[in-house]
Amino acid sequence: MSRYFSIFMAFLKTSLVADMEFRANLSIKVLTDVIWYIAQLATFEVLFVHTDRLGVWHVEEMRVFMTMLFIIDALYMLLFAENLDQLSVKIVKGELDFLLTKPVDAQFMASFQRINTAYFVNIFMVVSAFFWSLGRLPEGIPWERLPVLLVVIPSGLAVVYCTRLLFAASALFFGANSSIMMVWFQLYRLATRPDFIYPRWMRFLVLTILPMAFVASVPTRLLIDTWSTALIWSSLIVGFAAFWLGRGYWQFAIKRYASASS
Amino acid sequence: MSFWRRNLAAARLAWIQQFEYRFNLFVDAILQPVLTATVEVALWYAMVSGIGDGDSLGGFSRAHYLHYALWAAFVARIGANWMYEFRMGEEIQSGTINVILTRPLSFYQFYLSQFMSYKVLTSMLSLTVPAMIASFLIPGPTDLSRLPMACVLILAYLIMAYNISFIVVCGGFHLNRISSITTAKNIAIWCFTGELFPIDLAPLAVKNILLNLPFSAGVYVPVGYITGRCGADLVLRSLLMVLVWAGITGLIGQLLWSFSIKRYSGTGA
Repeated sequence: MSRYFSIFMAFLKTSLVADMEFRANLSIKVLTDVIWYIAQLATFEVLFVHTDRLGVWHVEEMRVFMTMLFIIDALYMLLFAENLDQLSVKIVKGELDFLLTKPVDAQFMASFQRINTAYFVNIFMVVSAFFWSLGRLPEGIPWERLPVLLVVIPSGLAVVYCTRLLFAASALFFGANSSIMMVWFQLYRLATRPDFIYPRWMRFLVLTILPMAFVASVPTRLLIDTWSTALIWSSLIVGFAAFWLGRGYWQFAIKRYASASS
Repeated sequence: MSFWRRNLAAARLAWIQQFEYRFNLFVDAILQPVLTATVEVALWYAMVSGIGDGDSLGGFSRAHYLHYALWAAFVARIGANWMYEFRMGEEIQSGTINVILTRPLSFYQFYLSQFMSYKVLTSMLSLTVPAMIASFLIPGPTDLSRLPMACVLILAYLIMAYNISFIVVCGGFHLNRISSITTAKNIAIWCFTGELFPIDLAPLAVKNILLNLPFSAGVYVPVGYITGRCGADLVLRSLLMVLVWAGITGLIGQLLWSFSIKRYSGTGA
């Protein structure tokens, strides 16, 4: 475990050096995500100009939901985004072979090799925004419920990571898979809206087969809606299931990988 | 080779490439906007159902919002330029642009023809989906007789969008990486088009600013026109604005190209 931690720290150091080489690029990455945050927030702020309630939530609850989403998104962008975006390129060019020959778990290498250090800035911003939005709730910050974040944030992150890995690793079978990857972005949109807005069949889908509701909806509900131990357990199970599904799929795909540029 | 033959050949190349990867084309033109439309229609359904006041919001009915969300998802996909901008940037960064420079071809025209041809193809495929859904599944305010005029506006918008892409791409001669600029630019434009919400819902000051920018012609104006949110006067005003901006951005692009190509060493940027 400590070996993997030291490898991770080495990746972090080299990524930071690489990012600092292109500082303008780093700033643009931060700016792009800030624009995305503003756009997502603006959508709901504009809607709440015309109504005081959307489903069961008011604007204050919706802000908590959005900032929760931003936290998971920023963590995903920091740790995994660039690695999984590049995975299909590595497979097509045969660069994955270099990872497979190393005496370290290939999935670990493929997932953490490049850390997007620009997103440390974003994480600071979105965590600040999250506590600001909690402070704006009529009942104040629910301090006693905050420890639940230690379960639901890793779980939400595992769901995003696993679904993305399933799509990225499809390149091991299909080669170029840019269109399949774009489908993931559309699925991810399901996570950017609270689950209660969906029709019953779709809500069932996002809480079970495609558990995108566990990215931000369920964590937010656990913080600000009625307390539910069952929901915490569900979140934990979904997180573990997502991780093991991703792991299993990766190992299945690697066994069938026919090596360089196949 | 004449101007038309040259550009028609480039346009045909884009179609051939698309039909070679038919699954990609299906995902790009149909599956992605269908998924987006499903999410957005669900949001607006919940939104308008939740307000109670006779299913009306900002003076428009639930059907207006559902149809807007439906069309916006498809029209927005047409107006965005990711693939060709990345491809053009890559040509400059890697130096493969030399292949075009050594031939009697214009880099601007070569990709403009491909881009427009690809967009026409995806539009023909894409727009049949909301047209059929609006006609058979969700009856509402969609007026298909307004579609041709909306398409003219979208075509003009595409030329402007391409010219903006060309300006960004020319930056590739001087910068190490431009892919992040492409992403930032496209996300910024996405905020202004009206895909996220109909611009008429925004507070008055914001609405005036957004309607006076040419980007509203990417989604809000054509979709609003098709779904009965705005009239022909706004479409004409928007068309004029887009054509003027297409001219301005085209001019800037050509000046930047002339400046940059003189400094290009031929070995990639």
